[in-house]
Amino acid sequence: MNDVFSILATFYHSTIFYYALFIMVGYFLFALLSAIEMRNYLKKNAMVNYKTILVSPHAPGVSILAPAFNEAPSIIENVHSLLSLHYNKAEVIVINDGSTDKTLANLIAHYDLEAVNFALNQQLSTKPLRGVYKSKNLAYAKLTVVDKENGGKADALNMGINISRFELILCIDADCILEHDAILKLVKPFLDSSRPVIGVGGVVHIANSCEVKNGHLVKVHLPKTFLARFQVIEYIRAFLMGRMAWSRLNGLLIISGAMGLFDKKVVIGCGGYNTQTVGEDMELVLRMRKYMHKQKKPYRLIYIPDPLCWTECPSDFSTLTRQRNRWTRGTMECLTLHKDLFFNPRYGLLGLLSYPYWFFFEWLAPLIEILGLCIFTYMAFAGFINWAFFGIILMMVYLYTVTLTTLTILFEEFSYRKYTSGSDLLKLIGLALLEPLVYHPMVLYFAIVGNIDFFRGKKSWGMMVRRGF
Amino acid sequence: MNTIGPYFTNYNQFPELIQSALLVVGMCLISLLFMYFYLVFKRVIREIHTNFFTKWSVEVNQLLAELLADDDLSTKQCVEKYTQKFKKLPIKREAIKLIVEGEIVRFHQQFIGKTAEVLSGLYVALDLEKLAYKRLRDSNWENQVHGIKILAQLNIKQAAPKLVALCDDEIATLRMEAQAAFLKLSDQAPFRFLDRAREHILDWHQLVLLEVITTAKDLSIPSFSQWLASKNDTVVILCLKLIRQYQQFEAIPNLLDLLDHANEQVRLLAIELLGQFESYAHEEDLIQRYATASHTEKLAILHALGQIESGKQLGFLKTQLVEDSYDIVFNALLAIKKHGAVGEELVEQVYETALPKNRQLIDHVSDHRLIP
Repeated sequence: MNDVFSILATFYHSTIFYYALFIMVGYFLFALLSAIEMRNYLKKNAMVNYKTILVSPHAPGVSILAPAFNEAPSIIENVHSLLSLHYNKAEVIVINDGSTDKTLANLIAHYDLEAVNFALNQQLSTKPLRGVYKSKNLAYAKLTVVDKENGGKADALNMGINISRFELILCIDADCILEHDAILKLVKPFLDSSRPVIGVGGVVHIANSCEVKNGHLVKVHLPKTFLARFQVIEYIRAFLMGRMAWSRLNGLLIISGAMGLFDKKVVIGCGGYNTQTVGEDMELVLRMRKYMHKQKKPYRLIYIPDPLCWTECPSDFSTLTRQRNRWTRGTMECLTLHKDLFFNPRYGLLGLLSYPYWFFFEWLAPLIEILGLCIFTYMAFAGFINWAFFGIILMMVYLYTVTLTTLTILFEEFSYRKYTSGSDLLKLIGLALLEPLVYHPMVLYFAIVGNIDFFRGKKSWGMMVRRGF
Repeated sequence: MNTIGPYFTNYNQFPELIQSALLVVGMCLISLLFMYFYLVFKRVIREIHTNFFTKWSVEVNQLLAELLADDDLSTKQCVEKYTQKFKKLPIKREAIKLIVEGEIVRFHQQFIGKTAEVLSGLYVALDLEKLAYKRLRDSNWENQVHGIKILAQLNIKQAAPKLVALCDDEIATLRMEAQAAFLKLSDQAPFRFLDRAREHILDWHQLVLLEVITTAKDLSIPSFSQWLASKNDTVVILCLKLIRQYQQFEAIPNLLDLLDHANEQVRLLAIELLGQFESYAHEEDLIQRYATASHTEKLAILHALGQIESGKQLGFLKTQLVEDSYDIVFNALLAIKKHGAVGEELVEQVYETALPKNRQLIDHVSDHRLIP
């Protein structure tokens, strides 16, 4: 019996080691690709005069779609911020998704809106339209407010697409803060690629504790709460390392729902946002890519490293649990809906690398990790663990994680350097040391609960408590 | 050391797996220490650099502010006077030279006329143009672009011959900047790169060129129809945009040839231009193509008919109002409405007998808040 356990222990050590090594090599390659992509982008765009797009009559038009549900306290400031974005050929479409508070009333009163006879081109099916409003004040000519029955964010965005008149659509969360030049920077890749670009995303940063005035970010600070600070690290790593590398490979599976610019024709061609999933942002990208593959058209999906969007992240455990639970379920729903991609050579990189990566590393990795811990605990109690060797392997994983996170801090420091003070830098370094011990176990917990809820058929969005910046 | 000592002394006796893990641990520790050191080192260097820059840029700015206020002197006198003043700065130091160059360029971006001329003259008189020329010869393309941008910004015409070779460079960004600068600086055949352009002129590249062409002073504008037969579709597209910009009506016969071009974007632009030029004589050509045209081309043709507004095609436009496509009906209505009083009258007639969905469309196109 002891021999069996001894073999199992050796197998377990080896499996953990090779699995960890495999992930580590993967992440190292990702870091390398990200570094190349960021360097190329910064080199190419360091001296770009974005005013060229701003003033050109040949620049493409952009429809900004901002769904709003029960956002009465902040909607005026948010819309004001969107209207003041630097882009000439743009319209702002706010979609009131059946709010039960004063969201619509506040908009009507503040922007002097009146109902207009809008002939809806129902290219995507949605919940019924209640009315379309335009301002009597010419200063707000770019603004269109749409009132519809509640159908969720995806449904509201589909309605926005039906209403929009320009060829590019910028889908955003109404409560996000965009940098003034966000559209200019997002539009440029559409103009500057030899292959047609179907979507562009930018880096999303955490706005908690930042100074915000009239809907604009005035000063960047690290969040006050530890939970939010860990998410700063997590976001920097996810965007600057993960998505930049995928962008380099043209293997992106997601453009953040907080902010993404898309080719409207392709979005409509593939059927718009799916209203049946909580991971509508990822699901749309998957379908857009499949659509382009089926049409046998070359295409690009691009992430740019500019920090263009600032969002409030959950600063308490229960809200974070709900958000991550939704993200996990969203990922699983998307992977399940598009399981035909799994190692499917017909879809090239999408089927052979992007999808399997998400399957093995985004979905299964936390489960394998938890399973490993359970086996470890059992073996420890049964006395089959070589503690010294196991400690070395754990140390390797820990140090590698810290090294990788520190590398992303280095990326941030030498690219956009949003956290300027020395104390912020020290805090970020400290957080990198603590994250694997404190925050990572939470992430594992969220993944497990999300998996359980997925298999139990949970479909709800989960309320996001906003505390303000 | 007692606790970690055995990991060094007994390293070779460990299983291979543990040896590899120890190796990774060691590499991570070294990388971490290096990164921490690098972060601190870079911050310190940046701080020193910022202080140095602030100190000297204040001095340079003071001199430049003085120059701006000096209205009484001619351009030449002003350049001479301030060249002497700037030479009192330790301008031989490379770092100071770069600060002076940067500030002159920055000021130049904000001024036109005599002030801009004085700043350009000062740049040359201080021998700073050698810096830009040195950058043009650099093996690093970003430095070459930097040099080109400065020469173009300061309007140093003598630099034009040095840009010719770069206009055909294989690096797209460098090629674009060189072409834009060449357009601005060259007096002889500034558009000759269009003859040789084999690579795609991407939309961004076109935007940059269009901006330079439309804002450059003293640029002699050729007839762009000479490039409409180019084998490079993107050259044709750029020239169509320029034909529109400069209202080159003589290009109309060439536009008709382009209606059969293989590239849809070219066809669409040609249709659009026939509309914009109100090419009354070619309405029939557009109508003839309509039945076999793609959906996008149909929309472009309807739009063009609205712009031509001859009144002869109102019957045709009316027939489109029974189509199922929202876009076709919408654009046909817009085209009818563009016909002024006659169009308005026709829309009113149609409204009486129209289906509810078309009535909604008519209301929509009649609302100035929705159709600016």
